Amino acid sequence: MKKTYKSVLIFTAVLVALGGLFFFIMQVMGRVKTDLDIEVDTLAIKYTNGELPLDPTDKFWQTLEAVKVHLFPQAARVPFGNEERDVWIKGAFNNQEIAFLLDFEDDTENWDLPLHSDACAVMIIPDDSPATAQMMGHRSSANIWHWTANRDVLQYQQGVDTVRAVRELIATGPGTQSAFDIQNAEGKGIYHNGQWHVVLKKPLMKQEDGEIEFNSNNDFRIAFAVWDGAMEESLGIKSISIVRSLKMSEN
Amino acid sequence: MRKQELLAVILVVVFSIGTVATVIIYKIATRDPQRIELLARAPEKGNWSPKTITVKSGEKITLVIKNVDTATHGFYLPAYNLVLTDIKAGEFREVTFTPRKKGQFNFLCSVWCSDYHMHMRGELIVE
Amino acid sequence: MKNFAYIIFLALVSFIFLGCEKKPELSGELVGDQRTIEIIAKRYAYTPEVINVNEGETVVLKLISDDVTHGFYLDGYEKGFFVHPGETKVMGFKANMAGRFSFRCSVTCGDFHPYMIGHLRVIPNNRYHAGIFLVVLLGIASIAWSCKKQRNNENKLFGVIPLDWRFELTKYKPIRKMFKSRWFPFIFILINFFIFMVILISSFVGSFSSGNYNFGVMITWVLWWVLLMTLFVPLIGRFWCMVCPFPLVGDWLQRGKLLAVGKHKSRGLNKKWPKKFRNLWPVTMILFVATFFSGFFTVKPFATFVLLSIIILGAIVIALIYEKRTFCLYVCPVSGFQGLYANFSAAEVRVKDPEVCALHQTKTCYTGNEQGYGCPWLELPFDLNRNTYCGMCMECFKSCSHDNMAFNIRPFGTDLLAERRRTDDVNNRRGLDEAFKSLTMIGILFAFFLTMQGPHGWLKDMVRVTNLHGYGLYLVGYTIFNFLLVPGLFFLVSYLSKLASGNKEVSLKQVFIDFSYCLIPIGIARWAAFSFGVILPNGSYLLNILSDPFSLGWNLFGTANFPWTPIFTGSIPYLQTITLLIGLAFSLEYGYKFARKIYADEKEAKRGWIPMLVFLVSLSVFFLWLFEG
Repeated sequence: MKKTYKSVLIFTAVLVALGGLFFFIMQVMGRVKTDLDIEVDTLAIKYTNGELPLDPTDKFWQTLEAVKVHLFPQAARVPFGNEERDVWIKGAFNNQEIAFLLDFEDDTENWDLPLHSDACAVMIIPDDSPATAQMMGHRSSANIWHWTANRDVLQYQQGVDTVRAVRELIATGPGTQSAFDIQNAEGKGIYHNGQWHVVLKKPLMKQEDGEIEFNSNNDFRIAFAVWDGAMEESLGIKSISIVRSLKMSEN
Repeated sequence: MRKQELLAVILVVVFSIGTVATVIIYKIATRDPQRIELLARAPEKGNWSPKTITVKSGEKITLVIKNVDTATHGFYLPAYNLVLTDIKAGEFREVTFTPRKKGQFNFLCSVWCSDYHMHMRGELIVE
Repeated sequence: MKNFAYIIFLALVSFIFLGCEKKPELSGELVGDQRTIEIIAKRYAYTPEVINVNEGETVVLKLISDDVTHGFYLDGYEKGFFVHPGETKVMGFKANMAGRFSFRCSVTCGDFHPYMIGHLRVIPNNRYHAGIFLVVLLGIASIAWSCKKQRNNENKLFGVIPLDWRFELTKYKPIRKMFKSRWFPFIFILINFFIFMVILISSFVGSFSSGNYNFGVMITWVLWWVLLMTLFVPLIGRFWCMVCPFPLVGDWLQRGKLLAVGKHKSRGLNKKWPKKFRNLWPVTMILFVATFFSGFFTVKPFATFVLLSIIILGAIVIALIYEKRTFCLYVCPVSGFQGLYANFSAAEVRVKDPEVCALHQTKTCYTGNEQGYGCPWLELPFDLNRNTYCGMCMECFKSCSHDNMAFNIRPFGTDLLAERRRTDDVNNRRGLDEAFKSLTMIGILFAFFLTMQGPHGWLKDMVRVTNLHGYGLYLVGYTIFNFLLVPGLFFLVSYLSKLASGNKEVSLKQVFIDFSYCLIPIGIARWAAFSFGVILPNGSYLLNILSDPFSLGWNLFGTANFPWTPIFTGSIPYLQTITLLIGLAFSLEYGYKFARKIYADEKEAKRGWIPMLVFLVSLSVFFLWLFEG
């Protein structure tokens, strides 16, 4: 009888110990949960039959729904950005072009100093880019359309031929940006009531190696950046969005 | 022999329960409200812990950042222009400051540490 | 004359090995005498995995990271740099040393950082060729040696050391007194008990942090494992078993006493372990399964915590159910190779004078008395002739009423030739169980080296379970390799041996089993070689963890932030080759003695030995290729 009693005792002790260990393990492993802090939705833009206007005040832009994209201070390369902002994005494409409207708040209009001008940018990277392509591309080329208020004024108000409001750049990492030989992108910005409204657009077809060719069959990834001249922001001192999928849908 | 047996038992107890107790007591005893331990982890490993830190304006605090992850992280608090860069795996880094500006301020990681680096964010609330 | 023919054959074979070596494709782009190579680092491998350059060239490395900050440290040349993602860093050096060098990541980049390794080959790889030459030379010397008349050399090791030479350490009174004290080895078990408490606490606290800076991971897999494979096992055999703290609680629960000698009645169920399993089969399988997860517990503290907890709990449970040290004998995963390899070691516990035991009726070494327990390892100390199942616990020193036990220093490997005992037959020991233990240790080493010190990213991805199907594939391949391919190859060689000998009576199974013992010295040598590749690059982390064992921010010895410092990495290939040669020498020496034992006739033995010799030499060349080629 004593032997059976011992056996039962030992058996129970073993079960308890194993159970305890298992419970412990589950608890510890449960402590490590992915916490992504913020949802990043796909940016979907639709096909349109008509023209894509360069004018940000054109009625066309009011027919589209805006998507709010939060911008965080650039914090992967010194010098870091400081500000958090929001930018509202509208986008569309037709048979020839693709265009985006960026709306963002800015207390003051700064265009006279080229280095401390208000500015914004759109970055497109191929869908198969590694995660590090967030930082202006990585071995796979990033296409950046960089608009500055300073160049906008020079092109449109002062009629300087050699200046375009938007410069098309190619980059394979932070600080590696250089201008494409052939500049296709166009842009126009309007400042009104403490807000900038900037249209950036470009032909779908590519004209140079490294340029991304757009079509609704493929996926792309997109990110945005904004600079506030009044805060002396330029280059790395900027606010950027988390890279997200760009979907071009026919309907 | 009985005395030796007792000594042996005491030693075993000291080495087992005693060691565990020492660690626990040390952790409790060195708890200091002015020192806040902040664990740096990539978002897929749990992100900053604690995610939200609440402090009182005008009170000096020391942030003890411990990298319990396996990649290098950084700490960046834009509102206070505080940067601690290259906190390697296993490293402890301290920064002491007195928060005055009231509000909610994000702090970020300043070293590319994971595919989800851009999601590595916590909040400092100054009341 | 025939033997001379064999020598020529062997020499030819070796030249074929050398000639067959394909000239490796040189990496990167050569401009003048400057070779530029772009290296991409991504968790946890480099692309290209292997770099080949010519000796004398100026090598320019461009490092790019595809995910996080990675480093590059070149063994031997002792040069390093690191790169953040998004930038390119360049480092140049002159390739003035020929050979194969490992390069490794120098910045903790993720969970499996310590295995991020690539290989740089500076050709011609002369030291590798020299190694092959030496190995083949050893083989030829062995044949020549076996050709000589062996009358006097049968009982000698290398013709010089008598196999029955013993030096009794316990002839010195203080040592004997220490062995007879109940505090020995208890005091060391107690110290290790404390160390393992710290290991358990730190590996639990550390959980998913970096293993490099974790006391538990470092002490277990870098310090203890390396000491085990380079010092404890080759020299003293089951030395660790003597001072192991894992059975402490179990013994205490069984005996009711921790240190003193209590009633000789177990408080547990005291069952007998099934006869069928009283051999090395269970521990071989348990260790094998444990190695499925070796990628994890060597780097993740929590995995080490789980593994050690399971082993400790297992030890306690087995002690409550079965008699005495059943756990140590038949369950502990580390027990198998310690026991088998202890046959090679240079220390033993034996009786001093067998005549005394013959006259002793009660045999207190087995039954126990007031001074000590009966052999906890279920051995008959008065009849002990082999180290395999003796845990060096020193109870027999205490319980022998005639003070007739001795601890001897002896020539390496004498147990390999020990005669069979009745217990071996009763428990189905010294058969395929030990042969497979010997073979799987070789197979496991091959897999460990490839996965942990090799350059192949795709293999490491499989081992670290990036996806289940890759891991499943690895497990299947690993099992087939260990239980089919390696034993199959060895079976083939045994068959050739029997064929060559011309002996028709001896059983093939016996040839297989007996010859498997001569793999032991090579096995020990390779595990030691592998260990050099573990401790020399990573030993400096021990300074970090000693200063801050619980990751609480302490700095007990001021070394908590000591930078990672690999030491003497240039010596690794030489240390590995030297140990290989020593292991091969012993394998050949004992191998021929085995041949003499298996095949009664001297001529048959010489013929039967040749295939095995060729195999041992080829195996050594293979390992040389794996480690340095």
